[in-house]
Amino acid sequence: MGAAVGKALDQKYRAALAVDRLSAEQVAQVLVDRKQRIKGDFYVVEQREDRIVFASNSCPFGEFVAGRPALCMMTSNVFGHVTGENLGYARVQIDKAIARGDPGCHVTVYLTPREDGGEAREYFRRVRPDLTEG
Amino acid sequence: MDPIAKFIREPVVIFAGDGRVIDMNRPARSRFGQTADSWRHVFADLPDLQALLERASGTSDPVLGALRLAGATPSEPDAKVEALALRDGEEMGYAIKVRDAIGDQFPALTAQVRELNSEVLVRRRIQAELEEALAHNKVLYRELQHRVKNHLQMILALVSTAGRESDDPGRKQFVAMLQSKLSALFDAQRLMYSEDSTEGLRVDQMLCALAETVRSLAGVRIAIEVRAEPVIAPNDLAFPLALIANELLTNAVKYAAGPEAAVTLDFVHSAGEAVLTVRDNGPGFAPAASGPSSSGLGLVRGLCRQIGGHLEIHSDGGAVAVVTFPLSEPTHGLS
Repeated sequence: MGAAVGKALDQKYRAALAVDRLSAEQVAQVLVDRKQRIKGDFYVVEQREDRIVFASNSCPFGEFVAGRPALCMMTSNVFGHVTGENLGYARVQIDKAIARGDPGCHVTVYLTPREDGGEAREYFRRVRPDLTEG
Repeated sequence: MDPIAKFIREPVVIFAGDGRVIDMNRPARSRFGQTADSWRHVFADLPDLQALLERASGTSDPVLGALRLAGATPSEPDAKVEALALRDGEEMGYAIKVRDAIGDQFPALTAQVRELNSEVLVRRRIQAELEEALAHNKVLYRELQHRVKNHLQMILALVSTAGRESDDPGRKQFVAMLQSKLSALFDAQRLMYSEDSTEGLRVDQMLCALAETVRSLAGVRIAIEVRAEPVIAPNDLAFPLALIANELLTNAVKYAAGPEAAVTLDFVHSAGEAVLTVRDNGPGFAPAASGPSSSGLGLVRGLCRQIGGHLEIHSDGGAVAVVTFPLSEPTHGLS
């Protein structure tokens, strides 16, 4: 679901910005813009070569998110898909979440792979396999 | 094959990036054959498989999908699968687990579920038949009410004609009495038909209709005030109650005093008991009125017995008749 939403958003933003791929700055702006449109006041805390850090004091799911951290997968999938498709790789780590009882959300999107992979879910640019030989 | 895949009871097939089968676990070999060496021996539809693997390539976690298995019959549903992209440097491979090709692990439970499903189907069919029969019976019942109402109206017309055509005062009086009783029945029947109720009818509406009929048949100017609670009475109670109220009202109108003649009818219901009180401002009951047949009171007493109630009469600035009887409202109310 999150991946499908991420794919649709990515295509729309790319078309709107008239680019084949979004830059890291554009990815950060697109994700913030998307969240703000659905009443999640995300903002960029930090942007470095290897990561973009987002924070928010409200959740688009409102009060219904309390005790339902599974809903954070929506954010993870959308952030990961858009970043992975445009920058080739993303690893999304939810550091803090309103759903888990934290006062706000804190999400780090890493842009370079880690050797051990870690627990965070990784996202990549999709590849359509050529199976005609198999 | 990763040793972990050997623990998995569902078929797991490892594909190279070009669709060749690299490895399979034992359930997969058993399902797709030892010689399966290409995606064509496992899945039937290339575009669907490509779309699933493309999705899988976008994440490190397995993605869910449904694919048509090779050799599946047209009636067989697509198999639920999980696909995982395997990255090795620039090389990409895929592992696909077929989730629902593991056979029935709980045959007893499946048989029980199947049995329950067939029972549900039978019950649904029976329910549909019953609902259809009920709808048909409702139509018949309404038709019957309609015909009874029409027949009562016809009898009333015949009785009225008979009264008009006679010069005999005794006969006219008898016809008027008959007309009054039939009108009471007609009012109850008309209400029952108009409410379209199989359970009962509104007592307050019936009493107001009766009062209006009695007033119009009286042939004199008289005020009849009805104060009745909106209570629903079962049909089998409504008709005796209509006759009782009609008899008491007719009596009250008959004996109410002169130009200031006034009659009141009160109906209250509480704790399963109803009380109908008819009061006039006439001379009151004569001591002999407590006899069994005075002024139609015999009929009222008989009807009271029929509905499990009793009649009390006394004088208090006029005649007062009080009928008390048990009344439980129908469970479902009016339809």
